[in-house]
Amino acid sequence: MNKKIIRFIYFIFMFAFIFLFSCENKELKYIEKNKTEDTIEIPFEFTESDDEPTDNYNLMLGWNILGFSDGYIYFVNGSSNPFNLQENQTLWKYNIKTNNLTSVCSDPICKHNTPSCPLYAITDQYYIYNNKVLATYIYYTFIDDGSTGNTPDIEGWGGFKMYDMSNGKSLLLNEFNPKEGYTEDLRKLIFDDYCIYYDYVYNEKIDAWVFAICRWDMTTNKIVTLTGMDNTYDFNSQENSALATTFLFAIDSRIYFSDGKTIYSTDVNYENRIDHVTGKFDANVYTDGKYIYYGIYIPNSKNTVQSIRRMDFDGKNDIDLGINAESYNWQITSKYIYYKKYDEITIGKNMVSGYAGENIILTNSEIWRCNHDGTNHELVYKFEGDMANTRMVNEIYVGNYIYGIYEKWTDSDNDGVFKDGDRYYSDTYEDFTIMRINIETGEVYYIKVDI
Amino acid sequence: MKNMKRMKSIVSAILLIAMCAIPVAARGYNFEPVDTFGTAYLNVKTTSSAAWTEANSGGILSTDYVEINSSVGYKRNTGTSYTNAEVYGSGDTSGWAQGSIRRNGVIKSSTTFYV
Repeated sequence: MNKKIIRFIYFIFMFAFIFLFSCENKELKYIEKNKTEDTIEIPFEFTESDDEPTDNYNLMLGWNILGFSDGYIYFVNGSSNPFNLQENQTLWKYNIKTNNLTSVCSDPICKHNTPSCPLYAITDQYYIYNNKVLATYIYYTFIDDGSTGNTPDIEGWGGFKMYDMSNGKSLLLNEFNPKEGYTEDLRKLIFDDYCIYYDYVYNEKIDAWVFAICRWDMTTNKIVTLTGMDNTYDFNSQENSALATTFLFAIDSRIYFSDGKTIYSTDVNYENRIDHVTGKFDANVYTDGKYIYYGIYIPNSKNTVQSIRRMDFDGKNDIDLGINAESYNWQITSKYIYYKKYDEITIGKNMVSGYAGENIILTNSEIWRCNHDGTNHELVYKFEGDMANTRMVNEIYVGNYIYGIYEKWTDSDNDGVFKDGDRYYSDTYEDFTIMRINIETGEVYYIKVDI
Repeated sequence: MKNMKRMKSIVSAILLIAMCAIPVAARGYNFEPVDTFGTAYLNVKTTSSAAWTEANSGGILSTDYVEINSSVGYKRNTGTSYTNAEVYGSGDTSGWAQGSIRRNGVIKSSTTFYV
């Protein structure tokens, strides 16, 4: 009997050993921290220009890392991690003339990672309008992080708020529990103290989640649904990720929409509709206040390259501007249209975690500009030589300068294969750096954020 | 003698329960959809842990990203070519994770889920 028990215990030990050390379906990998950019210290200079961003006529795109308003570049340093909020990870503003950086929260001793800070838990989904900050805020609190062996217990809070920089007051639009998952369309239209936004809601009648178009009145704090209770993705549109109804921009208190067939405008109550032009448009439509600029996807193009065109508000005088660029890779300033001329350059083999494809392919090596009528195309900057493996990935054009977040690929062991750690990306909490290109001289200046 | 045998049986049973209970409670695998954009996974073992988010397609905008946030670690891969973000860590007894994916200006996040 004793032998049987011993055998039984021995069997259990063997079973437990096999069970514990088997079934590994992922290899452990070591992912290097991003490398830092070695830069030569050069003195700061600034030259004035009368060319300024048009602010897209009130269309604000919350995916942009850098925002510009009244002489300041705004940014949240590094991708905000709501599970682990860091000291001094907050909304900053950089004075482009003086080279000075200050936090939007004006408390000099605030570290911005406690609820006492008015911008506590701000994400990088923010919008600057008329001295106000509109943004999504998310944070999590650990009741039990699971380290004791218990099931983790986490609470979360999310909300969309307006913070008035002039008086320090905040206004809450909505709140949600981020633990339950969430969806947000980062396009907003903000003008006349209204915020037009897509609210992701379930429509029982059609049994579908829709992006209803709503209006938040920041003066009265009232919300109304303007339209779009059937607003789902229109897979018949020229871009299958475009919504059936999208707002485009706002001019003189009228909101311009596209329903895929017509560009039309209404007043702020979605009344008094005027149809402007018929045609197949997606959300990639802009204005300079005088004309409508839009893209047409190039046939048989495997990517998202568009041919950019311009027309009057009634659709007349439709002209090809001679620009081939990816959607959202062209921007209108008061004097020019800046664009990245689409190209693809293979720099090596891909062994990077999460990166799809056999090769590392960089796109958009050249930045160009032309006049609003498509004349006088000129090369502004080309990533070549020492900069051949560098690209701006998200940029704004202000006066004589291009400011951008950038990536730089370095083949650390010169074997033609890029691995984890070979890509530097300048939007990180530890090392947030803005590249500034002087359009007149081509000189590159790095704005390293030492917080 | 009978009492001795009974005692041994009880000890064996307790030992068996203890040995089985610890490793079973200490490991697991779970996943949650990131709405229609992809899936987030969590794999916790006593020897190693992994968490990752897989997107169904590449990005459109240069600031599109795939992100995993978990007890194993945090990773955000930004760029049109990234379809996956993964983190690896040492063994653990339990864990949590949440995946997020941004595509063409729309961000979607999974529920926070546990092992």
